[in-house]
Amino acid sequence: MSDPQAVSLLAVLFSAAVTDNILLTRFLGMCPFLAVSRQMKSALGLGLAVTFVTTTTAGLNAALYNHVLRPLGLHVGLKLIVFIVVIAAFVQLMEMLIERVSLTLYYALGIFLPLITVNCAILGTSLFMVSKDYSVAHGVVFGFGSGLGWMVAIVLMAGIRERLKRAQVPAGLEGPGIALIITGIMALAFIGFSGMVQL
Amino acid sequence: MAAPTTATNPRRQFLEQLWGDNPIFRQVLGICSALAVTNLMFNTVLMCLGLVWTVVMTNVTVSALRRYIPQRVRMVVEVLIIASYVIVVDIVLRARFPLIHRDIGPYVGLIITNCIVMGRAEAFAMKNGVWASLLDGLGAGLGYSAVLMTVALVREVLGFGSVFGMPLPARDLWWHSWTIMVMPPGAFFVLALVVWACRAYALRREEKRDE
Amino acid sequence: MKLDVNSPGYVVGFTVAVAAGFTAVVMTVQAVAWPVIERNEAVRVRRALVEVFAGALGVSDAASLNDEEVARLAERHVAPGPTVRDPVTGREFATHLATGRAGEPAGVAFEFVGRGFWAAVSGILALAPDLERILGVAFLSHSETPGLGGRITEPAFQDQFRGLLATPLRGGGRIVFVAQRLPRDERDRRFGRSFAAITGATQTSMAVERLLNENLVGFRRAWAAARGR
Repeated sequence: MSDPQAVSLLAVLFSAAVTDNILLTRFLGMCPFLAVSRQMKSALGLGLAVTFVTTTTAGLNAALYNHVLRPLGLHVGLKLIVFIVVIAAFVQLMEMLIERVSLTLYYALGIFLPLITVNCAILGTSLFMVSKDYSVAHGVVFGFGSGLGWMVAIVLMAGIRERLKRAQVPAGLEGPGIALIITGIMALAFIGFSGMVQL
Repeated sequence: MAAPTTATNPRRQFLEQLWGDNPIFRQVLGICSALAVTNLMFNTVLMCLGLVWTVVMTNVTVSALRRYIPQRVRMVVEVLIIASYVIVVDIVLRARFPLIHRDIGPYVGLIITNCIVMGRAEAFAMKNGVWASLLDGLGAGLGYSAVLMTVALVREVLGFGSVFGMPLPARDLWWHSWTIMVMPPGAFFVLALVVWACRAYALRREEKRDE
Repeated sequence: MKLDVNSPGYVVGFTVAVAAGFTAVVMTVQAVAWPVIERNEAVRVRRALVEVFAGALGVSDAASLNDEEVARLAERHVAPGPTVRDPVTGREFATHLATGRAGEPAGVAFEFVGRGFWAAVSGILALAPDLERILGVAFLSHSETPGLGGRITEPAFQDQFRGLLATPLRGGGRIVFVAQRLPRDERDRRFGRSFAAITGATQTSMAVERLLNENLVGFRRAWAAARGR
């Protein structure tokens, strides 16, 4: 395993956001991405929410993993359940926050707000982070980069879909259909990044 | 996307989840696993079995406990329930089918984050009775499985030239390996086509009904 | 008594009860299944050892052997070796020593762990007694995409490693190389050291190259250190 200390934080950020993009390279976090990317405003809102959650839960989980689970030898068995409970609790907190701050965003996100809990991108971020043996500092940066990459992808998609409103999409393809095709093309493009940053 | 409902007719709910409100092409849920696992039909069947088990058991449990779950911790409780059922599946696989576990192990864990399970628990089981929730979960799971098996059929035939691992007859004569079908971007395109077919069919039926 | 579902005491109590209840169920299932799981694991490791030493043991098709034959072969020809430690990285390698029909050393295998594209990949790698060539590789666990990166466990992929050179190149660090097309010219320095990538699973193939090299280099150092050289 590479020496994490020697790896620059910038490289971690870049690889998490671009070359190892959690959505277009690892294909995690698809459901809310397809459903909420119709409008730029909600896409941006959800992207920010997801970034906030990935950053903080990556930090929390890194701290728990490195300083509590590992020393106690419980890291293999309890890792999954501890991570997901931390994420669930945090998303619950955030739901209450959003409901108080912006009711329009709250209703625009609908079911996809509680679904952030099971957004595979967030759990995936924590799991990748421990598989790369990151410290808490690297973990936070990795979580931030990961969420940022997800947000960039959903914002890109929202931009494309808003322009598509003027295009003539066949009735059956409207909505998820055309979104899937666009995502497929974006994913193909991102294959070009593979292996660019070896961490 | 379905609004949270209090359905009065459980059987209607089952059929709704199967087609009218299908998790994939109507609610847009459960896509991540749909992409990763559908390059082989055998793996897809296993994934779908695991998912149907989880969504039915979760719906039933959440529905049975719904009056006692406090609003403030409902997500944590739901996630604990889901995780427990999935871990049971994982342990059973590990013990009885170790080779299968070696190949699709990580995807079993992904059922925890499959939006369908949490989605149905939140949208339906929290507000409806046990029997209705059971049928809702069963419909959602089977509707999901039907779409996934269709995608897997296309991807495995085009990508590997086989069905359930068995090579197609006279494969060497006409089949050329189409690798993109094995990789995730191929899943996007095939899924898009399946969604298109389903929706076009549904729209045409609606038009006929209006005539 | 009317239950106030939203009182703080109830909230905490309920969550703890649910957590404890479901954790208890999971742990019971785990406890019941654990002996079976451990036995499966031992069987798999034994089978992997027989597969990697197949050439040295004179077995032509290791995959066709049933569990008893595998157990018999493993018992007679493979024994656990010393655990050696790489002085540079501190990593430890558990080893297994194989002996041939006449009791002569047939090879040494070590257990390796490395990072794949998605998560950890572990397996067993067997080397000839003089550490000059690879006898075989078996991947025991991974989290790669089934049908793509997951194909590293297929015999067709693993057999590629039989007979590859296991000594480091002069001046370079790498021992084995992943290639889209295998080099055919004997003068190519990668000849006899390359394995073909899995089409469509470039990332996993590159990760396998990286982790095998890391482990080969580390094991050679560990083995040399143990021998006191």
